[in-house]
Amino acid sequence: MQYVGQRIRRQRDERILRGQGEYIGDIQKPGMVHLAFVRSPYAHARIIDIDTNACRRIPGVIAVFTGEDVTCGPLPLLFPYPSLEAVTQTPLSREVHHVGEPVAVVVALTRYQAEDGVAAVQVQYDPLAAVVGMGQALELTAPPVHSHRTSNRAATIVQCVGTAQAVMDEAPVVVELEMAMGRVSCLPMETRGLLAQWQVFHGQEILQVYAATQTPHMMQRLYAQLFNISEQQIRVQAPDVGGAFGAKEPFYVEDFLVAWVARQMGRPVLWIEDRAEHLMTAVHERAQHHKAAMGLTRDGKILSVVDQFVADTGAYVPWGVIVPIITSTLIPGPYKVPHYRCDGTVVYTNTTPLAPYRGAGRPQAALVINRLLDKAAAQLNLDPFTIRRRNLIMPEEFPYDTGLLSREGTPMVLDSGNYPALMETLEQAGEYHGWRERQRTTLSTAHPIGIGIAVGIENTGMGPHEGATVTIGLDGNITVATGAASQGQGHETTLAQIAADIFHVSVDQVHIVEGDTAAIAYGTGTFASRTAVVAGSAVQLAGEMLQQKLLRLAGHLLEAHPDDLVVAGGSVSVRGVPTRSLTFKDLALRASGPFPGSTFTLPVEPGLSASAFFTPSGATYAAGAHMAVVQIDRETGQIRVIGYTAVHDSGTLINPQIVDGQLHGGIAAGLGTALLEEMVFDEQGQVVTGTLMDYLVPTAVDVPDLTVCHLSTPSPLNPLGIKGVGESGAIASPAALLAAIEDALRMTPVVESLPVRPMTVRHLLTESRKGEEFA
Amino acid sequence: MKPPRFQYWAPGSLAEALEGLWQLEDQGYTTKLLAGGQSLMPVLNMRLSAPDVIVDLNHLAPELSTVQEVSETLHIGAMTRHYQLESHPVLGARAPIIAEAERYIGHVAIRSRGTIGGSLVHADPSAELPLVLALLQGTVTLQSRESIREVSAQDFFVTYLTTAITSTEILTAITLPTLPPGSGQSLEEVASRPGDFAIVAAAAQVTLDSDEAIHAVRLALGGVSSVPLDVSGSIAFLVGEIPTAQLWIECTQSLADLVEPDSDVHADSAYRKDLTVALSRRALTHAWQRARQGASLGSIGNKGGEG
Ligand SMILES: Cc1cc2nc3c(=O)[nH]c(=O)nc-3n(C[C@H](O)[C@H](O)[C@H](O)COP(=O)(O)OP(=O)(O)OC[C@H]3O[C@@H](n4cnc5c(N)ncnc54)[C@H](O)[C@@H]3O)c2cc1C
Repeated sequence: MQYVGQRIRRQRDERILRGQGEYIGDIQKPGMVHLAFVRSPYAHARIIDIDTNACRRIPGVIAVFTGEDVTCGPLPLLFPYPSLEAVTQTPLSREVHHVGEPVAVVVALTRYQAEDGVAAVQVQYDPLAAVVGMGQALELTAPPVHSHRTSNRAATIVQCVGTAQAVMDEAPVVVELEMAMGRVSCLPMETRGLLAQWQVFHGQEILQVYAATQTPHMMQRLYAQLFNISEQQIRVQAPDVGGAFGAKEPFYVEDFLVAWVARQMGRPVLWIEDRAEHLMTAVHERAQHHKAAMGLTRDGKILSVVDQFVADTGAYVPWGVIVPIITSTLIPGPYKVPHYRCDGTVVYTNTTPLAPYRGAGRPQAALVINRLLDKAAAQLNLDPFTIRRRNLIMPEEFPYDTGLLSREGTPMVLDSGNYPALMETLEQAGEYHGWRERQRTTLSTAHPIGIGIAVGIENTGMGPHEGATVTIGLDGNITVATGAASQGQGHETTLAQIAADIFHVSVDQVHIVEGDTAAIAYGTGTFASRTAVVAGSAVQLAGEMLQQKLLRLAGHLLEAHPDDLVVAGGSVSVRGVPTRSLTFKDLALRASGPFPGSTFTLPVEPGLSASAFFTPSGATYAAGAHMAVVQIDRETGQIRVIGYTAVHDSGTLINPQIVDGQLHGGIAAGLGTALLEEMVFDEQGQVVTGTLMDYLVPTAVDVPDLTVCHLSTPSPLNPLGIKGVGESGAIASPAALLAAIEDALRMTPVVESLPVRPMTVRHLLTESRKGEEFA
Repeated sequence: MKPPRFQYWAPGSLAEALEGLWQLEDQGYTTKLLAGGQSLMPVLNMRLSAPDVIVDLNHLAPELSTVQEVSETLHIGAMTRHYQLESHPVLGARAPIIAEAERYIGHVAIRSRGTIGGSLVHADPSAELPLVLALLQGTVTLQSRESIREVSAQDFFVTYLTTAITSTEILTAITLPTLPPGSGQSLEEVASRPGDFAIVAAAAQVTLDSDEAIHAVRLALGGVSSVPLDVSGSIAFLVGEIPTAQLWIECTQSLADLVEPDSDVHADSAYRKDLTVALSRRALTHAWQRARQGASLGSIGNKGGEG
């Protein structure tokens, strides 16, 4: 049986569901102490004095550190960009730039005592003017977000294809859009957490870190730089990680400080972020404000798109300005936009920093282009399907050169896809015409139905690399080590499926080792919908190499030509002579070498192991078309999602059930962005939505039944034809939901901000009624 | 998010608890009573409250979770948990609005721990049970070592999260009138997500006389003021009218001007006013329909609700 393509159960779930998972919070080390942070209550302030005397007297408190003790400069910039004037966070800096920034560290025997200590530290602040809104940041009179800078501009981003404005000026039809997208939190179930300990091994200092992270190797590299030691002295391990969605991708000052404190204390130090800290300090995303226009022919063909936007990056740039860059390159998306211009301005504000969250700038892009098309369709009296079909890139046009440059300055080329087929399937599977029929009778009632569609694409499987080491052990089973790290995506299952197919063994005989820098020397991590593509391909390459080695060894021992061998059931045998066979176990033992002191005579290197890296030449583009059906209660404004269909193309599917799950989660996230979630700050930069009573994340009850269908247009860019999917569900969903709401209400003004809450609907209805009265 | 240090004491009986509270007060200790912990634990974890002693009432549950019907009144022990209220046969028949309210309260895990006493003393102005107490003009029994007093809903709720209870008292029981003959009740609310505290909630009781005219009508609102708001007075003029659907639409329009809700992160004042009108009409209409249904069932003792 071939495993790739099968809906097999996730290997890890039973253990996790039985409560046998091992998360950071479950790890205990002898002598371990707990760390808690004193965090700034001000969005912008200079620290005048920190008095730690009362804190030191609290029972259980064993140490307190302030900025005077730490000599670390700003953290390294993780993703440079030519126009970016980067400010990265400095551990325990004397000037704080957002609420929640750490100003001191308390170490105690228990977390309870550490928090008692935190409450007793007295910090004297000199509050400075804070900049909160993106609009405010750019005003000439705005105070500086960072005292040492005069401007609050972090970067400018320009994309240009053709002569967009000139074409727009001549276009027979022009529609405009303004869209303010709210700020959201990544909000994994498990918050951040870190356990660090320094030990001495053979006279050399060794730093061992357990981290809830998406990027263990990157952490290892940064620790090496910050502590000026070799990466060989550092081991970072990610145990079970309870979700991340971007929150565990950057390197935070907390990551540095926990390891630094552990070194000062000479004992293991644990920090578990609590939910309040998470909402306040783990990265946020979305938060862009777009003004866009689209010029079209009278029959609805796009001539030109012009977009101007401001993006908030908060107080720092923990992952460069990759999010607005992605937005700027993906606005055209699956559509042919012959003339395109985008001018983005990224601003600093005295708020929590922003970095990629599931979707990473793409939901914003999908909103801009799809909402523009909906406006054009309304104006031209075209069906939303029709206007999209007139503009989609056609299957025969791939590879499609967008005319844009990717983030690295190389031409941005879409590798493959079949967008019209997505639309076809969506129309059928989503029962579009049935819903339109049902809608008709509801439009003039108190509970109108609305239908919205949107198409989005995702550049997935980005570099630089991921490696895999595939080993057949002395038990005859296969171990695969990769640099990726799982936060619940099911790699232990999908990567095992790939390896099992190469060696024709049961998937249960394959064990995946991830999230450990000791398992493989180099790695990149799990984010940007990349692991199936990049690590999956590495597993394929390394597996094939090991297969060759296995055959060479078996051929030698069985005195047969490798071409005459068959691999099956954990053995290699001579074709047609099943008795001339060696098990993987035998072969592994032979390959490990004869007794010490004897001579190694085999024609292969010792050990049944092979390593390979996959370095993708470029992104491969997944695509999704979504249809949302909502029903609105005009009186209360409540929005009920009564139908949802997504058709997705991720190329070759390793495990459709896992892909379904990724889409379900992504759509739930998109629904949160569109209808519920928003991190709100007040004018002083205080977090207003600091608990889960106020920050509204969708729960199981809020997510409707989802219909998910798959198409498969394999990518030519990797050996298995895989495209990523982790973020895909979140991309087209907000645009589809907004379109559905607008379609139900059939009125101007249209929705111009996210999230759309029942209150928003009510206000829109009230406004439009006023409009009618005055008309 | 860990509570500051506190002492923990779990008395075995009401008498022991009352004695202990008196003495702790005497010795200058601050105390907090722990019932289901569904509101108190977050408050402690966020260090919004730092009592010296937590007095756990859970051993008193057998004593304080009885439900009794005595001549047209219901006595509900303070430690009765949400899930028990939700499914209690006597309450289902005699005060069906309680089960209806429970459907809106939190989720299963919360309802399996949280208690009616805790809900009332926590006094969130948009919580359902305080609203029901206000609607039905119920009373609470507050007991200390030295005294027992009955306090009306109106006097009990002082402002946001504040009641008339003192630090030596325990809320031991809630007293509510049973559903009068010819009556129907209803509770309608809008929350951000299912299980969240209401943005606005409206609770109504309509009593019809034998010729289907309004004999009595009551309406209370949650989420529009610092306490649950009894606005029955503003629709008292309806008594004697034969209701129609139109009547409920007309009589609720002016409610928007009657309330002055605050704005917060979940909803602004204008939206709460909108909801006040819509939900009041719905609650009154449903209560009326149920009253008629009950009457047409022919029995004198109205079963109420929709079963
Ligand atoms: C996620 C979540 C959602 C929720 N949603 C809702 C909702 O939609 N609607 C709603 O109404 N509630 C909701 N709640 C709150 C829940 O109903 C609680 O059960 C209730 O508010 C408090 O009851 P408790 O027994 O848990 O009291 P506790 O938390 O133990 O105590 C609350 C307060 O009452 C005091 N107290 C408790 N019992 C007594 C007593 N007998 N005498 C004197 N003082 C006493 C305590 O000292 C404390 O000050 C929610 C809670 C959570 C966690």
